[in-house]
Amino acid sequence: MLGKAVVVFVLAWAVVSLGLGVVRIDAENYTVRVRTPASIAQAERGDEFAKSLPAIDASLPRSASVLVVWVSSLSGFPESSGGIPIASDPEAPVWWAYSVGNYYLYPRRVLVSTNPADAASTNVDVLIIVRSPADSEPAVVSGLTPASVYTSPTQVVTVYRRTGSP
Amino acid sequence: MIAVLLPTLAIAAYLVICYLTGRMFGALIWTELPAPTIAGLPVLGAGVLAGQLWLYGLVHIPWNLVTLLLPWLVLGVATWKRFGSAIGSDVRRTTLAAREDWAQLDSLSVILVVVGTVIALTYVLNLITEPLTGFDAFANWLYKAKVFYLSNAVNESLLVLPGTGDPGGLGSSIDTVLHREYPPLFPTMVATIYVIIGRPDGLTGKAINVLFLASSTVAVYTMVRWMLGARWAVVFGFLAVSLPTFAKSLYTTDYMGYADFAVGVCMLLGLVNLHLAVSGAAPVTRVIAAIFAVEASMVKDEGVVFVVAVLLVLGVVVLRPAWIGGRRENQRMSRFLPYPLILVPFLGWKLWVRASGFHQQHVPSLSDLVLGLPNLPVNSVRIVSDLRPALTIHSDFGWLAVAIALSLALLLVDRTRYAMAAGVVVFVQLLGYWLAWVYSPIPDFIVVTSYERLAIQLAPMLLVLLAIGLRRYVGAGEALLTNGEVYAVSRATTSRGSPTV
Repeated sequence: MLGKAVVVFVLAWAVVSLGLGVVRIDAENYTVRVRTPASIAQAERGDEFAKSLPAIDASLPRSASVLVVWVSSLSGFPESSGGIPIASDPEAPVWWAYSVGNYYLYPRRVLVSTNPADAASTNVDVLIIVRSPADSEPAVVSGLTPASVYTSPTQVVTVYRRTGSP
Repeated sequence: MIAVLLPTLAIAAYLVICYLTGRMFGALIWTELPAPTIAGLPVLGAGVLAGQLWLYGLVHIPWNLVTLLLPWLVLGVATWKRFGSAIGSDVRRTTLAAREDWAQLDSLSVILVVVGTVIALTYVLNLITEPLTGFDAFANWLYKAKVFYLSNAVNESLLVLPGTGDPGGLGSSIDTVLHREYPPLFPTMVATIYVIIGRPDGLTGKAINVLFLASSTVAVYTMVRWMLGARWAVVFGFLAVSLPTFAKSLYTTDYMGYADFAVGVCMLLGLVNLHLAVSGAAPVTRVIAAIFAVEASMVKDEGVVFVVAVLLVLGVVVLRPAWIGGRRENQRMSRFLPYPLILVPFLGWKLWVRASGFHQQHVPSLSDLVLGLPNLPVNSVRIVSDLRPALTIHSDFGWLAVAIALSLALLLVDRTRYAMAAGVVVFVQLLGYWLAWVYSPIPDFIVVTSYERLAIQLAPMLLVLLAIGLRRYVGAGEALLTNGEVYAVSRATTSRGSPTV
């Protein structure tokens, strides 16, 4: 009896998984996937800050020190965890900027601040300001000049570099 | 097209290199291995290569393709007769088995094979082409892999920390995201891919789960084929690929699941080899079971419970005859001594973490466990209540819950040592999860954020446990290599249901 029950259970599990598998295969656009390199797909996902980092990484010397000033109220997190929206965590922007910034810009040291005043008093080689389009750009310490700007409907990322640095 | 082809080739090369390394490592001890053991050799090889890089970091040998592969090339040439014969045997046996199995398949089996293959290929395509969006990847696993690769060392002290002057105020709480105390094997495996392709490309590195998918599918298939025959092997092999639970790791690449499938597969391979060892396969399967168990403990902390359970069962297997045989069998006691030595890398890591002052997850002391006893019933009810919404027939969790109940029922009926050994390991692991939940200071949060990940870890082992339970009811004679000879598990069973070997 138990053996039969297990046999029926396993077969039913396989048939249900088969149905779900067919649905998944049917929903997949294989042509687009094969034709889209991961680097292109990467550029289409995430916030503007994360998207801009590969280009920023390529333009900076490995020894540069970096400060990210996150003025935007957006967290940058693309999703939630277990149904709990991470973006609701007040520290979320800091975690996101610190983690993504260090991932892409390693071995450079990336510090993060949510205080706009830090942009006016820092002595780093590179300053990255992340803000909403509606926010005004905070005052920046003298000696740092704009090097590049990355814009999306929800974020403006401005990169400042110390004048005269390589 | 080329941009997709290149990472695919890189991952395929990694898989082949891992298999060859694992095969060479295995062939040093034993040429002929049971098919389920061979299925795990790529994961064994991945662990060996990562261990090699770890060692290189300690003695300041640079990490590159030449330093990584040259020792194996030399060893391969030196032991070509033995190594070549092992590979030749693997290829011959695989070809023969595939031909035999294909001839036996009915219509449903063919559909499962075709759909299962398409699902597996879809996973591979996704793992290669999906962008990197998971926070865990940036903050933890792939960040560490990049740091290890660029530093040529497995050293979590090299991660960039905010420091005391950090204006963002992350300070000491950084370990709750970076998890410097986590075992480093998984990121070091990813770093091995970087060594092979020559750059720290996270988009390719995240596809490492292709290796674990290949090993787990073949291991489940060959194990069930041995126990229940080809048609059941197709059913269980299909489940090993298609369970929606695994899609979290293999299809989506968002917040979680980067190392959970890996630790689940290491535990599966440990269980498979343990079951082979208990069933009388070549003694090397005991050693390999212990190696996979410690590999699991070095991928994620959840593997610690598993390694303890495996050593417990191996201890009983090796020491029981000595216990029964009295003085005459005392020399057997010494045979168990090498097994706990396999724990050396894990204990070494834990000592280093403690010496480095990294934050560690709270582990309850004995007094915590005793003092917390009165809260257990309330916490247990809360956990069941938290899990209840997920336990539906529309999700895998309902099916997995029934699978756990049925496995337990099968064990209670089939109390042979073959079934009990596997059952003890799986249910000790399950008990470990449960205790971690009930003793957690915030059980509701922990349960909701972890049950999906723990299901990924547990599901592969549950499939094998169900198949072991079915062995009593669905016998099918298949050959298993042991001690260089072939013996068969026949349909005939003893009065207690154990297979006649």
